[in-house]
Amino acid sequence: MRSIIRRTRSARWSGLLAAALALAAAPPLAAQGGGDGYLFHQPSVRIGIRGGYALATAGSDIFDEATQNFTLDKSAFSSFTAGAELGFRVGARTELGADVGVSNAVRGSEYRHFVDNNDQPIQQRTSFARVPVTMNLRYYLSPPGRAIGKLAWIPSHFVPWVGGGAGVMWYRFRQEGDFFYTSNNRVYNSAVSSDGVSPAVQGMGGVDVSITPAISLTGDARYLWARAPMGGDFRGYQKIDLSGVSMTLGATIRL
Amino acid sequence: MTGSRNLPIARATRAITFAGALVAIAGVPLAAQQAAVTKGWQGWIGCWATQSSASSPIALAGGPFVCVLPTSDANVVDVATVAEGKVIARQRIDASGKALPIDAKECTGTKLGHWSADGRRVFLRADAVCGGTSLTTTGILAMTPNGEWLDIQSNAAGGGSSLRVIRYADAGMPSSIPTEIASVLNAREVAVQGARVAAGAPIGTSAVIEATKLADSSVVAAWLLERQQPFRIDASQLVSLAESGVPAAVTDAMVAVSNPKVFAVARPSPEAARADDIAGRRIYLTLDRYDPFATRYGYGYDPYRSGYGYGYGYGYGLAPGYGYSGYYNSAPIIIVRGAAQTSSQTPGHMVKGRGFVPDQPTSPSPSSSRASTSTSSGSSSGNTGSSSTSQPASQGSTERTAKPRP
Repeated sequence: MRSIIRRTRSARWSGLLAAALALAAAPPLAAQGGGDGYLFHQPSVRIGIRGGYALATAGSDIFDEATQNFTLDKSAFSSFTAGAELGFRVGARTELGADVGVSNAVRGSEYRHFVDNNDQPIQQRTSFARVPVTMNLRYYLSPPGRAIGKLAWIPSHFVPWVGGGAGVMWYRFRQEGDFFYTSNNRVYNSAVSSDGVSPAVQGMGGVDVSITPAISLTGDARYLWARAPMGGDFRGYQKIDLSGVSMTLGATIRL
Repeated sequence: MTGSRNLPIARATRAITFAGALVAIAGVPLAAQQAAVTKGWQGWIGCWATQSSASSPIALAGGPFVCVLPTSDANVVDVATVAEGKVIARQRIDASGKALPIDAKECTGTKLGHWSADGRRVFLRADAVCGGTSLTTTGILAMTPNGEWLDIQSNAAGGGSSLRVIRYADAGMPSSIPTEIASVLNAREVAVQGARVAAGAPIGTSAVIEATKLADSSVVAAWLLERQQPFRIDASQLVSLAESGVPAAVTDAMVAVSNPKVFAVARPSPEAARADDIAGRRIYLTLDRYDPFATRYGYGYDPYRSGYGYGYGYGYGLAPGYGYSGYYNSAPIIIVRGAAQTSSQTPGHMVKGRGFVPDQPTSPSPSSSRASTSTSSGSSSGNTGSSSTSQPASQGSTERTAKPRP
């Protein structure tokens, strides 16, 4: 019994290693691991990549001030996002996974109410980057697949799921370009930024649609909450609101 | 500082210069200066003003101007500094390649000037011993593609060196120019323009290699950075240049001007320099801050120093007395552009409710450099010896300020 367990663990670690090394090679690898419309075993590892749009809540005063002073609105802090996750089956319908995402909104702007002495706009650029790293539990609301005997596992075509997790969020809020100093009205070229890391929690839900036994398309929506102190070149501001909703589409490979 | 310590020396130096000027004026009748001028000098003939004074109509009215005049010797020109209608100094530049003795108080040595192989630039060199200290001066007189005159000089002594760059623009024929000079120059306008275009035409790597053999690397680097002419250089050519003995400072300059999307050349404010230093964006080409002339002669008080023109140095008489505009001890700097870094930045911060607050509110606004990409001059180091006009980094453009949107 003990040796069986050890082999099982060994097989799992082998699967993890393979997953980590060969995402690009996964389709042919997966094809070798299954027959026509089925796999030879129930997958224990899932690798997903996704891309979509991250809507920033932008609910703190730094965003208020930026949108008041510059030609920005709250949507300026939203951007495309990309992410990846690695999930491990820990139960018949449950997975534990690690997830990383990245979004970086970059927008040009100018002062709303001021121009320079040549009637030219006073321009700057604002970037808002967020990188959440979380551990999540995912629960499949319907069976992800069906085992036929011991050597065939047939994935379900359509599997909804929900999940949640916690982790950390790194952010950087940066403004670069021309700014004027109200005390002397001079225009300065400068760059100011704040960055840091804060705790983050998220909840999510989605659906997997199998297109082959080893590959499915995944659509998900997630809400992530995080707030971090403003530091660096920003003084007197509340914690920056890093929260937001993201909606993504991606691909999942089962190993 | 140094100037006050060396006031007597400065006066003596100025006296020598004046004496030399008087001798030159008396000894070379202007009528004789109508003689042939070599093809190379044609572009220099005329009256010039430093860019700061050239941009000022008020300054233009009375000068100062630097007028380059032909002589009876095709390789020689006279350089007259004119202010308020009078010739206040006169220097002679001999590009014949002959070594000439330096005749200055407490100094002995030789000076020589000669043309580049293509006849478009003049290389100058002076080796002197002054009071037991060896001084070496090298320089380049060259035209920019815009027909501006670049006068770049390096002084080296005791293991240190300093660099000076002056950029002159054509001043035309101001009414305050003395008649004897105007009469010499009036007939030459057309030929001069063509010669300036030719002298400022693009240079190749062979010209760079030649220059590095005849002038200090800082001079050559400054020349390239001021010209801003891109080169088509690849890795193999860079290797070839290095193997030809071209110093790193020079190849750095070539790479910088050839990749303007990556590198900028500027002389911004000290605050911006500090920010760039912190960000690792700045590559200094400059040299030790040691000026043998300043420490030795000091120049002291000079009533002309704050504005008057030429002050021709290069070891010719070792009396740069009349100062000049431009910059001194401040070599061009290569700035490695960041992703959005196109101009120098002022360190600052955002304060809730107040907006942007610069760390040094009284510093010149570097943002004005956006409007002026001229590299003609930079800030003066305040060196007592030479720099006559302190020009902020934003010189050449109006300071940028904000006003309510109309």
